[in-house]
Amino acid sequence: MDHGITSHPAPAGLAVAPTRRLSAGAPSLPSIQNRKSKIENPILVIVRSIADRQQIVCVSAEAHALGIRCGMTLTQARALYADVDHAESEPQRDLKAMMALGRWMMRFSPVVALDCVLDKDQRATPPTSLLLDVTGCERLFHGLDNLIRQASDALSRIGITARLAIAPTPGAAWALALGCEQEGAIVGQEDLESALAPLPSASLRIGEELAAALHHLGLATVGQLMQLPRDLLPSRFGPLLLERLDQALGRIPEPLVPLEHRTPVGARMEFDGAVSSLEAIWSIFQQLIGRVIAQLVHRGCGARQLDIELLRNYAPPLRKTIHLSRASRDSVNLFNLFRCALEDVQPPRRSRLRGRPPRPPIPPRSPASASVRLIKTVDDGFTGLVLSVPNYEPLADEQISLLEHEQYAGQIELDRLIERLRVRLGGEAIVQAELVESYVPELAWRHDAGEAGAKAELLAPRGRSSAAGTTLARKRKKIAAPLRSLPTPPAPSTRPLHLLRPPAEVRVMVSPSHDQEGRPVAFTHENEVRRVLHAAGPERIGGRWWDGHDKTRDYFDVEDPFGRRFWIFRVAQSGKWFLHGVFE
Amino acid sequence: MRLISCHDGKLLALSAAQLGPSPARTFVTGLAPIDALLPGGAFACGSVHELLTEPGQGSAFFFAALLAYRAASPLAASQTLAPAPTPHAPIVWCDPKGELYPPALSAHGIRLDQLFLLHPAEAQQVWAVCECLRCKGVSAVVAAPPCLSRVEARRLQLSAERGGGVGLLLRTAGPGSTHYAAATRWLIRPTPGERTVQRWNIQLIHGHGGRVGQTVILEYHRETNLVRAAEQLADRPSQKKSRPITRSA
Repeated sequence: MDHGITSHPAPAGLAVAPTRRLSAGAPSLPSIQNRKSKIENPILVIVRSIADRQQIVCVSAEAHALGIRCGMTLTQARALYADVDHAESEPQRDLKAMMALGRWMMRFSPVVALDCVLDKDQRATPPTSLLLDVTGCERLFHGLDNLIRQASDALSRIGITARLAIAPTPGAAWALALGCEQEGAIVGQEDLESALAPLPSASLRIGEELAAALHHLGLATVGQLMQLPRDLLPSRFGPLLLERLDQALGRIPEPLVPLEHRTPVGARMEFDGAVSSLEAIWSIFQQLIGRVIAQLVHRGCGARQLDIELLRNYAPPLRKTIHLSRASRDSVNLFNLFRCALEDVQPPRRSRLRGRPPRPPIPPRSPASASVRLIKTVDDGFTGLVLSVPNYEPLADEQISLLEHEQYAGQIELDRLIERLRVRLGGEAIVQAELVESYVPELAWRHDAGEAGAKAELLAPRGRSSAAGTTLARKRKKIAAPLRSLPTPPAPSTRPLHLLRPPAEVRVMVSPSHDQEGRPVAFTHENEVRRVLHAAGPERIGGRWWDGHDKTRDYFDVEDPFGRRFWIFRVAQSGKWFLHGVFE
Repeated sequence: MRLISCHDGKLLALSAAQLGPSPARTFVTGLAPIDALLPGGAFACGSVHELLTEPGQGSAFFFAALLAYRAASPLAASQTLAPAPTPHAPIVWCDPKGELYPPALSAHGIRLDQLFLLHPAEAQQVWAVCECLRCKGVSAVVAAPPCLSRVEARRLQLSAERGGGVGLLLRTAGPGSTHYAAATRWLIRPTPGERTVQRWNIQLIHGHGGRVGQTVILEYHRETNLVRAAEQLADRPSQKKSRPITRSA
């Protein structure tokens, strides 16, 4: 084989276009594949909302068969066929999915590039195909036809319909994949021109507008373009057409920008036999975490999530996941979290026979934690330990000014405390409160939504941009912003520190008696009659009638002869009395 | 001067420097009668203070909130040479049953962004509180632990010493609170107030070098949101100046 686009001896491009439609430049193709699993209706279109209209940017094959085309509005599509399902276009997600597919395709070639077509404004459109440099790879797969068959099989196994082609240049491979009727075409250098000639001119990656212009001029195929004088093409159609033609024919080189190969961060160790002592596991963890930290340092990142797998004989591995509220590559911190996470693992029998276990190497925790809760039984011990960091993000080296050092250290320690408590006691163990604008006392606050958001972020899959990663510390700063003080707090001092949930019903004597408007003079709570010495009120609080809570409450702040103050209310509609809080 | 101390069956030689006010930070409540009861006129940070109430009398939420607020945002006068802590340092309130009402706390001046609510399981409450106390970033931890053993009480105190924050334990006087390792213990009893004034008797019942046994009246004025403290006058119960508006015979 004697191909040449670059200095490689035998280059060959494999274009993979995971597409259901043959129209070049149809975006959001992976998303059609993605959504298909969720949306039952096969007649699916993907729309992009532009101002007040929803323009279709991608259609499924079934919808295309009904005459629905890209560029229509959703209303037009519905006019053609009423039962059209639609989903909003998500270019970022599509790009992510495409990159994931590209990384997956690295099993066929180390050089995988996303194909970004520039539109007329020189903006990159979402990639719709992958270009693989399979130069030299055919030997591993015993020939290019084997390679293309294996790739095609693998893609169809994961449910992606794709068109594949192999050609000496990326441009030609792309054109063949999209334009050739024959599936899995393999074209060599010698018959490149003859293979390209019958293809439609739109298959040259020239954009829809230019393709339409060529179509109007009757230049339907690449062969017709090749017969035109070269000098005329740029002046008539712009520089892009000739460049694409030359790239496809291999006259000018087209270097691929390969996807960065992301080795997963992780480390594993398999033991010779079953290891049953938790102390040994701890020391192995320290070795492994050292390796993981070395990988993280190399990338300038810190771990946000740590997955631990303890392999066992004859049993599924024991999995633990540690979420970190800020990126960290501190071995002591990670080790402590690991120990917290492993606390509900029972030390196996052998280690219990040895009597009191020796103190672990780093004991910065309280002695209380040394008592291990016995929940899961580990009979034979563990046969291996696997660490992986599925989610990491860049760790900025923060400059700490001298004066604020103590505060900063305190903040770091607080973050670690929160992580520790969450690992051990669960995500809801430590929360912050947030005021809500509401007159109904029990609805005037809630657990902070920001915290929940941070948690949702922690659980988010990897691959999100680091800019989205917000640590708890940053969250807190945001909370401290003046915006948070917008809901006006209730009038000072009229609310008790101790609020009963739910309010307890009490029997109240009112004066004048039998009066729905009377003031309380005594009430019975927990079988004790409390005379009311002072009663301040009533403070009338209307219910949230729009939510269905239409009860109006009259609150009284009452004091008994011993000086205890209670907050009781009468439901105006029913006349029942409730104890809602204690001022104490 | 060298002193010999006998503790736990061991003799220790102490130097005078160890006995004096520790270099640790202190804070004052700003209420002179209460501060005057204390050794050195200030609450010690890095230790546990117990707020006891009599059985059936609730817990001393208000006094705890007051102390936590002052520990987290100290008055300017209380600052010694030690570096000033952050103006609104974090407070952890251990609230396993969800009794606390944070909006009321925010009305008393504790900002909600400095407040962390801890909801541990019953069995892990002491551990969780210890962890919070050991954290240098936490200025005050309020907790109502169950019956503490001697070891647990001591562990809380040691944790507070390490972390430098203030531990405020809400306990019930009686057999459940025989073991303690706190720097000061207070007995808080509600006492009749007025229509818009709530009063408590605050008695120092333990505190080395403090005026143990003295009682101070803490007053909280509902309408002006004002906190005052007054020394109890001898032989004169606090008088009810105004009669309630409506009162049964």
